[in-house]
Amino acid sequence: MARMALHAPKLLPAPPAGLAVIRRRTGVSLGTLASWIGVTFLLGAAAFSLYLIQVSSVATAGYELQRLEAERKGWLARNEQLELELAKRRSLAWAELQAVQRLGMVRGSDSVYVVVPLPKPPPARVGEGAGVGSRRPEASAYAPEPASPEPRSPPTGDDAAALVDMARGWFRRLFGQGS
Amino acid sequence: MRANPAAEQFQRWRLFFVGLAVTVFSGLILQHLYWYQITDHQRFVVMASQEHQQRRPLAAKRGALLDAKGHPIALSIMYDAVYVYRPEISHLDRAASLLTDVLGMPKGEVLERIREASREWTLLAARVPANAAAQIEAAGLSGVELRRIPAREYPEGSIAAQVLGFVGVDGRGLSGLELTLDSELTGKAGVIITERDTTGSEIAIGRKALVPPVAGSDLVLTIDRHIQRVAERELAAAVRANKASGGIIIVMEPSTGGILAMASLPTYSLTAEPKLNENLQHLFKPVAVTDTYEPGSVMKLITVAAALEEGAVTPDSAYQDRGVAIVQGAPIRNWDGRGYGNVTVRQILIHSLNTGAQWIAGVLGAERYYRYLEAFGFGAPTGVRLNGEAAGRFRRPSDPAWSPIDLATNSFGQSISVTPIQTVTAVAALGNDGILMEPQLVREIRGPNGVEKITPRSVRRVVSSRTASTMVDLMVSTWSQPALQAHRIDGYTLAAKSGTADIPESGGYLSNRTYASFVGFGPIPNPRFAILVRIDRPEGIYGGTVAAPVFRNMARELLTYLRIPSSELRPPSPTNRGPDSREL
Repeated sequence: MARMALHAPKLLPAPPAGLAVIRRRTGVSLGTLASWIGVTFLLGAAAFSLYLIQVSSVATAGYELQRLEAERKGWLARNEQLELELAKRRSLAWAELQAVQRLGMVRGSDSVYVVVPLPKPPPARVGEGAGVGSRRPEASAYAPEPASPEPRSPPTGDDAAALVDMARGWFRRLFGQGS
Repeated sequence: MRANPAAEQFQRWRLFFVGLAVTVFSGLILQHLYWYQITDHQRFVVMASQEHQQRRPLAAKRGALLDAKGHPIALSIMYDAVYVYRPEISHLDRAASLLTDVLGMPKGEVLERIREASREWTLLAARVPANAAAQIEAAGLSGVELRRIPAREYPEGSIAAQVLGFVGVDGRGLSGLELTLDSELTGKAGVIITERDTTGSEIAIGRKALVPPVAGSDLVLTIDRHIQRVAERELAAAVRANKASGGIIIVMEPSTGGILAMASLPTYSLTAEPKLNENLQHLFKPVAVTDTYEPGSVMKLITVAAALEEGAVTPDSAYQDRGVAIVQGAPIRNWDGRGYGNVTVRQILIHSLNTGAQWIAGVLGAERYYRYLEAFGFGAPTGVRLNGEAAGRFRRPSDPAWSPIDLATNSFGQSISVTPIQTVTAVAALGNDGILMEPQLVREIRGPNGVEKITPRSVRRVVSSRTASTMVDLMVSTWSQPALQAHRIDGYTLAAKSGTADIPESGGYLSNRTYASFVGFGPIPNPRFAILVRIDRPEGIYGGTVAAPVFRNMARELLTYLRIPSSELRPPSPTNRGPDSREL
């Protein structure tokens, strides 16, 4: 009797009637059902958390974007102001101010005109090629002789181009550059 | 054991009433939901939209004014302005201290401005530098707001003030080119519509609509900044030296009508604060186009040109000058009261004889004379794009009050009112082969859709090429007369005419106060510039003595600046070196 009492199975409390009905009709045990409910809840919570994280990160990114946009506008404004400062430094008023106050310059008096005659074009010779250094311009009391012969296109009648050529010759002579 | 039937009955009634109450209130809730979400749906949608939606205008950047070579002379910079609103400032002392440090304003002034801002957002400081604005924004003070507003800056300082004009606080032009070309300069504002949260911040993932602003067009003017500065400098010096009340210098390119410089005194400063001084309102208008005057002897050029064109006279036609001519009983005298005897038309111009001019006009006839006046542009606006341009005025034979004395006086520039721009435009036509050009201030419009070049517009041919050439020859003779020898420029020939006009006042004319003017063009041949110099009420009174030196200085500067070579200078021979030559 006592042995039987020791080995007698424990009596579990009777399951609620509803759960008993569910178990009888579906054949699913209580533990399995609870597991499924728990897993579903965990998955739902995870999905919701993921959604929250995404939205909050986007919102955070939005604020960061606004901050960067404001910073960009600030830099653009600074650029504009710097461009204004640059324009002022390039102005004639600034140049005159610097010339007078910093460099002690004064306005020039009457203009002096320096007359520079144009070199005469070399006369064309039959049978002679226009090689480099084959001809030297005529010496003039006013035009300095070039340091060395150099290829030169014949004056085309454009006074400005001839003056530029002459100026180049002077600079080369001045700084010792020559072919 | 069975329950008490009475208790069961009571429980049933209690349950019934609870159920009834729940049903009724549920019904009420459902009814309100129906009202809010279905019946009044649209109203709440609008309310929500207004609550969440933020509509912010985006200001368009105003176009810049550039000189003929592209240097900016007026441009807009967006500055931050600090606005305050007292009710939203939670820590007054902290806010005032920070604003004082950043803006460099006295703390008392800051506190006073904040106290004044009790009803609406009030401006505390304008044109706040970008770094200062960044500090204020980073502080995140409530009740302190930054707003971006445009400000007009002038890198070259205040030059051509009356021509450029200025803008108001709303960025719209109020005078000068800023006003007349406001539609091109203004551009088109944009708008951005966003969703905002409860703090007023923009929701990044919300809906957004953007209409970008379209910046205003940049305008390239015909004004050259160097020539303008020279003109203003020479004018100021001449007004000072001659103790005059003011003056005008206009430099024009005869072949295009482009205005290279337009200076006038007195004027106002574009960079002064405050600019809109009520006492200076009369200076805001461009007087070179708005104010008329009697031009005096420079009008003789028009008289002679008309007579030559019609064949009424030739340069060698003779006139017997007795020093006075009687027209309708009124004496017409020369400026010096002298009689020059037998003179030619050329000499009439050289000596600027009023008697000779009225004779030429008489030979030409009133009808033809006034037709040429109108052809040269007098009596009508020139079309230069500046506000308030005057047409000038003179009586015509069809006017009831006209009489032959008007023809006589008009012939030498009296009893006729013209504007300085009309004078220089008419004279420039003589240097442009007889073709009258429309004065032009804008060379290019650089807009968002590309660059639009403004083509110079020729109005009409007023005299033939031959007549124009003859007039140039006559004007060269006038410039080359011994009285003006001191003003010659070695190596260059100019064509010019002086004018000394009496100033009308109270039915008569002022004594000893004139408009002394000098107008001409050069170099000859191929004029590149036309210059009008007018000095108002100088002590020296005569154009040849007061205005001619200014004309010479301007011409010399232009010849150098425009790099116009001399066609007359020759290298001095070894035995005859001139004072202006130099050996290298």
